[in-house]
Amino acid sequence: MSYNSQLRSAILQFSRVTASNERTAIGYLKSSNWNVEAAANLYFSSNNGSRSRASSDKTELESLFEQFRDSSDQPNTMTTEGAIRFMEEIGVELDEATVLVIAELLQAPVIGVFEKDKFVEGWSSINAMNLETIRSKIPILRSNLDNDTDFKKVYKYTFNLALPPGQRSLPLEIAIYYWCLLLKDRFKDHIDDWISFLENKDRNSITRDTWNCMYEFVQLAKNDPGLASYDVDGAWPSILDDFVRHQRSKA
Amino acid sequence: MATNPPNREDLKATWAFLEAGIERIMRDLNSGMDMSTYMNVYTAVHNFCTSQRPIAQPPNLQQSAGVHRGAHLLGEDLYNKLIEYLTKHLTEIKEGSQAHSDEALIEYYINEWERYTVAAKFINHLFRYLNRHWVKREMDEGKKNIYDVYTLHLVRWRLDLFNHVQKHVMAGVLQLIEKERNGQTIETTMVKSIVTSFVSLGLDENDSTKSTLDVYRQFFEMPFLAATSQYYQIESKQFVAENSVVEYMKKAEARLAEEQNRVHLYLHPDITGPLMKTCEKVLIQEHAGLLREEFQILLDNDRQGDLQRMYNLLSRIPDGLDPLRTKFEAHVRRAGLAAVDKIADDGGDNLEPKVYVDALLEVHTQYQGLVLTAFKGEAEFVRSLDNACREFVNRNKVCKSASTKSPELLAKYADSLLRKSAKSAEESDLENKLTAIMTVFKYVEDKDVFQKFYSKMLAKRLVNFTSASDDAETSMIGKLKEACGFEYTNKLQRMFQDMQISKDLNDAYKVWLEDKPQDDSSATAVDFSCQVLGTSFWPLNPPGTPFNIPEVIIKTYSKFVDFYNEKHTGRKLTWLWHLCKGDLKANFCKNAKVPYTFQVSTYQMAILLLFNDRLIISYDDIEKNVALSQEYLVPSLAIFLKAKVLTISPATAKPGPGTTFTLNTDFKSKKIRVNLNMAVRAEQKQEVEETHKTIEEDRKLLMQSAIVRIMKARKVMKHVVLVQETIAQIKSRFTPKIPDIKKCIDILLEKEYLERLDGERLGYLA
Repeated sequence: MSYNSQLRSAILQFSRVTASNERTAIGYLKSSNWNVEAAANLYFSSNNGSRSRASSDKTELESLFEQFRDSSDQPNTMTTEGAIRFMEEIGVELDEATVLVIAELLQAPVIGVFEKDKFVEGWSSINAMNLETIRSKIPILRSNLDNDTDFKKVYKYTFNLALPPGQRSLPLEIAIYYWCLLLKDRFKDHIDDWISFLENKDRNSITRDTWNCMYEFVQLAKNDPGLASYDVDGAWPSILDDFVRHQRSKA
Repeated sequence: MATNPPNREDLKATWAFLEAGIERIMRDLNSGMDMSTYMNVYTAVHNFCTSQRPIAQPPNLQQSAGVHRGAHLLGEDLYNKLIEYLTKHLTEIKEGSQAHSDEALIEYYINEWERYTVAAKFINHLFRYLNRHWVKREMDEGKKNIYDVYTLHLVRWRLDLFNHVQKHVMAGVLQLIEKERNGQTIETTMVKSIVTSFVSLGLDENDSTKSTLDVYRQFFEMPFLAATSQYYQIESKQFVAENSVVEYMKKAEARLAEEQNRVHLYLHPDITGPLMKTCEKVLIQEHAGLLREEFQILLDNDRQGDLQRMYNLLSRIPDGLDPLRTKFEAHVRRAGLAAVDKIADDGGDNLEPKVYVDALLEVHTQYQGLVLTAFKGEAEFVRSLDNACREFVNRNKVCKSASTKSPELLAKYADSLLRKSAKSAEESDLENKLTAIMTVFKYVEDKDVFQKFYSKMLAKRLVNFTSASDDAETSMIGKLKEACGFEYTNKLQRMFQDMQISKDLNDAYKVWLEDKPQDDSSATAVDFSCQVLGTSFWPLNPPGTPFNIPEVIIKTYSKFVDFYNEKHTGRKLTWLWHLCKGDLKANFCKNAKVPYTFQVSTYQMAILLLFNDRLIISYDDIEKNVALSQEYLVPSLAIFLKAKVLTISPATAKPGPGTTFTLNTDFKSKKIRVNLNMAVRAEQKQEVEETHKTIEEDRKLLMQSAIVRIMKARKVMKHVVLVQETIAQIKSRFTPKIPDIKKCIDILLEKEYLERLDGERLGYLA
């Protein structure tokens, strides 16, 4: 994500005052409408002078990480089983999209794997320094999915998460699984048609381009459920053209 | 007449003297005027103007100015006297005119006009001194309504006579012209004189030496055009009600010519434009709808003359032809489609290429002829013709199964012309037919398909030496190059080059062989020649079956390989056995005095050579020895059975595992040379399918490379623009569909040649 120079200097200023990272800075600045002073006030009141405790908090997160790391795993890496236990612990169902929000927050390399430094960095960026605060943040993370900007971030990151190693595009069934997870609300008018359309097509993978463009398509469908404004000669990937043609021919 | 000029200072006397002279000139010029009288009048004017009467000089004026004013005032007296005289004279003429009407009035008017203007010239001359001094000075001072004496005559005519009588005169003129339009003969010089007189009355207000057409336009042109419009309105309405449209067109055409002619005969040329416009409006514009309705009927009945007439008429009015072009285009398209429908029903699946192409050409020729003769080859009609032809050439009943059928059949037709055959066409005739092919080719949208089939068939002609004429081949390629550019025919030309190079190569090989020690006679026992063809230029595929090279030719084979490798190191030779052939001398036939020669494919040769050792061989043995796959082996054997070179056992079986073959020593044939090398029908069909398949693949590559080329040059581009540009680049080969282009963009995105940027833009990734 890129910011213009004005916003950038606000981020810099905020980070300098609060000694926080960029992510935290953006979060606070956003919630105070990019007013640095207000953001700093918010930061300090909510953290209650946590600055001095920063390093001890990190150790708390690190030990939390170790709790869920399997001893047979690579050092500094938490794998699926640990991750599942962790999700249960913090009250996140495995089949809810919030998993992906967390995976994006912790910059998981693939689904079900967390790296220690990213884990610590991710949680501290939203000031969740221990299990308890992490739990308290879950509703906020969950609601992130309703916000277009955050959703888009998570949506695009999901392609990386889901991509099998060494591949360029997503196997169809995996793509469908994640689409269901992410789009069941946003795309509810069309998701069933979309999936049955995909299943009837002899195409067994989804390219990154298609995945990314799907976000824009969902936005379009949200505002225009009849898809009348869709231009089949426009800059869409052809699979979406085919889908829209298919939908129109049914209508 | 007074012999001497009167006292120079006496106006009354002077004018009396002058008036007598003027009256003489006006009324009785014909009886002449002697020189001295004339000179005396002239002198009287001069004297009067130069007299220095002190009277009438205002006392307060300075002396020097007084001289001037004096002459001035004197001139003015004379001028006014002249006006007075003219008005009186013209009033008399006006009164005289009331006794006449119609033609008599015109005649009267003309006579008076002519007398008056001639006299005016003389009088002008007599008053030259006045003109030169007094009039000139007045005009120089910028006084309006002062004219030289001749012009004064015209001005007075206009004011004192013309304004009163012109209506009556014009009524007469119009009546006269109407008479002529109704077919009577009239004295056209009368109208002409009237026109001339009207034109003469036009004086430029600012410069009396110049004339304008104002008077003429107002008093002649306007009423004349109004009368014309009314006349033809009535006439055409009546005519149309009673006659056919075709008759009406003839009538209108005749009327227009007649009016045009009228201008030449007795009207002022200035009227041509307005008159024609008036006639066109009434005669054509107002009936344009009716004419256009007839257009389809004329087309249906191929009435070329009437179509031409209609074109000529409607081309005279603004936007008159547009509806015709639309109708014409639709008509030609229908005609083309109908022609194709007819032969498609007759021909079915095995439609003769010639029949198809001829049907297309016939329609084109017919309507091209029509455009050239009836529509004068007008560019817009040519465009309509082209549009229609493009439609029915690319989208007709035959093309329904596959849009690429037109170029395929066209290429096949070209092949049938260029291939050696019994009914080969004459050279000049052939050239015409090739030109005709290009006519259809121009309309073909899938030019790449034509290219594909053409090069396939050219390759076959060259490899099999069945091309009828090198000149014709060159001519055809020249035409294609002219139409589509160098790149289109590049490979075709390379194929010819390879043929030439191969000829030289074979010669070189023979020389090379002679220099070699003859260790084994079998190397030269076979008469051998070959073509070495560049893989990337020839649309030939490597053989689709394994093959054991027969013992007899293996030496030759390896010698040539040695030779070639010696000559060009690092080049790989692929032997296209399925395209090779040879002659076998058959010495086994009991009944033949002269041994038969079998013309066979290399595969067949390998099979037959096995029978040198044994007379009966099983299918499995043959298969083992020649190693051919079944789809090649079975048809080859089938040909031998059909020609009775071999017999099969069991007798009714089809060639296949478990059967055995016996050499037929009783073989008989009417010909010494027996051609057994026949293409298998199934093979041909498969080839066509394959060609179509490669077309699809080639198109994808062509589109992708076009996209990459464009993006490489532009780096960043809007999606829509990229698609348009790609279409523009590829259009000359085929018409790409947008979804196909988009698929190619998808592929390039996936392969990371391109990336998607915001705002529907794409970026090029090096």
